[in-house]
Amino acid sequence: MAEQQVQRQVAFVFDLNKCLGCQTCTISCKTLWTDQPGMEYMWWNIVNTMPGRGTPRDRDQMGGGFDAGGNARPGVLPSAADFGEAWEFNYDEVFYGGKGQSAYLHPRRPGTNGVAEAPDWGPNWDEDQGAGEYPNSYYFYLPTICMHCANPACLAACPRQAIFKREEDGIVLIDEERCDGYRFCMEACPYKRIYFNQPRSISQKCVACFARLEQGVAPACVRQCPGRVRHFGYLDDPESDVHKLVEVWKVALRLHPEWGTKPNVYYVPPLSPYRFDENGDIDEANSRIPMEYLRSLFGLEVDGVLATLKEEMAKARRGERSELMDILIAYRWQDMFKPFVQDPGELERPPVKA
Amino acid sequence: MLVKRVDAKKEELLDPAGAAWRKSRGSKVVLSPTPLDIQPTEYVRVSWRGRPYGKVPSMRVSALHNGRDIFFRLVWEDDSADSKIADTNQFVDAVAVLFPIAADAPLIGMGIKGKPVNAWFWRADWEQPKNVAAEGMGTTQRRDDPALAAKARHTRGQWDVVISRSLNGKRAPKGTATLQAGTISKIAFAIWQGANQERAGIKAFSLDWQELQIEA
Repeated sequence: MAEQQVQRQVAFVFDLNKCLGCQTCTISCKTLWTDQPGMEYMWWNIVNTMPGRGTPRDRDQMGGGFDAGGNARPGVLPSAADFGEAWEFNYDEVFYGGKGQSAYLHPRRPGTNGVAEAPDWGPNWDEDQGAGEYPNSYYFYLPTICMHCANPACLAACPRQAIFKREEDGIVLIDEERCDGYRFCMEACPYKRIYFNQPRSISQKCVACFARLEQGVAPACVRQCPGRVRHFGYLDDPESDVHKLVEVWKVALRLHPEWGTKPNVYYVPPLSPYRFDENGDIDEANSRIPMEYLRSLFGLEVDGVLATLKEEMAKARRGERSELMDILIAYRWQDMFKPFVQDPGELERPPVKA
Repeated sequence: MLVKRVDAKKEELLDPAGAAWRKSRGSKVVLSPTPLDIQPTEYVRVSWRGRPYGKVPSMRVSALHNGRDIFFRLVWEDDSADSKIADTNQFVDAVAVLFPIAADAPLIGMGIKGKPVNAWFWRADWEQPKNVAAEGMGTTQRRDDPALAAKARHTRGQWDVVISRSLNGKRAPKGTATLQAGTISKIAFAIWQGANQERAGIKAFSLDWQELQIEA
């Protein structure tokens, strides 16, 4: 499957050194796009703690994407339990059942044979667990959305050509009219960012807020991020942060580049404090997040990227100017997503249907 | 395959347990897995290589008409009735009868451009079958068609489905095959096993068109 040719490509860069795991991006997406029946369990945007099992559970072991020779790799079709079903809560019992003093709110998932049971998994179940032993324990947050790949495995897998990549911005979309709910795309996506809408019997995923982009408004997850983690723009626009971070400074890397789909979501990899050695002294040769682990996520280039970040941080500390630090600090919020700086609140809105 | 004309009401003929069907044993149709090499995407071919599918070896087909509507009774063995998509990785049982719209439309590949085929597609989680028109794999267009109806039951490890449509006159609507009393046409069949995640081109099918003679 050849790379899909487009006129322009938008890209996201997520700075993992700034992500707080607050899930504001997740909620902004949820309220905007996935609040309809059949979408209860969907989180087109999700932030997971790493190392961790991800969403759906153990997603990195589910296959899909392409092998080193560019051949399609079989993938697993996740269950709703793998994603984590939307839970029900016993609101009636607690608030209206006269048991306000004895009953407490607890989540229930649809269990086997229709009997609700306590959940043993959810979309962010292993939050803040991480890995390592005190005092060298570590974790970081990893937000994921549809990667809007240059070589989308979902598009290649669909037998109905129901998935397409837009000429004007490279966004990958599912045509809901053509989709017959076969779910080969869900299997083939190695990042497991496609969900199945059961009542509508179609696959659905992040749409990069294309309707907002057409009005010059940045995607909701980008604009709503309180931590100034998310940069967005055209990859070929020399004025855009994403161009500078990906093409000029080369500090933004693809997640699992070996999966061969060429994602257009890039990550500034996480720095971490030095380890303590067995005497309790600082070991400047090793960081808390093992380099081997970071290489397994972002490839071998991660070493060079972290070195660049450290150099530029040192420059800034010495009072010298660092363009890279200025971009990553994001002094001016709207610079992060030029030219998509339109305030949605100032747009004329279509009349609300009665 | 002969479609006998009987004097019976639609409600009776649509019921797989209806009296009209007792006299007809039907004929056996041998089924085979669709060829893997002609599946439309590399992913489908790679992910099903070495994985068995299309395992329903045969089905029994009987056919009747009452001058107004035509009925096919389709019976096949399937231990598990998968009639609801209850999970994101679950699929449902399904059956289809296929007719050429262009007389020389190929069966393998479901027609080609300019030579369309027409299927009536019944899925165990649907109230009504859908009308499917195709000019090659991956080109299927499904739509609701009020002329189509089906009734199904699953007993003793068998699906028993009657699927029907009104016989039409000389002018069949776009995307539908012409079926008239007193004519000879062609028919083919396909079965999907939901428990084996079969969908799209991953199915069992009758290898060739069969003659369909509709009694005058």
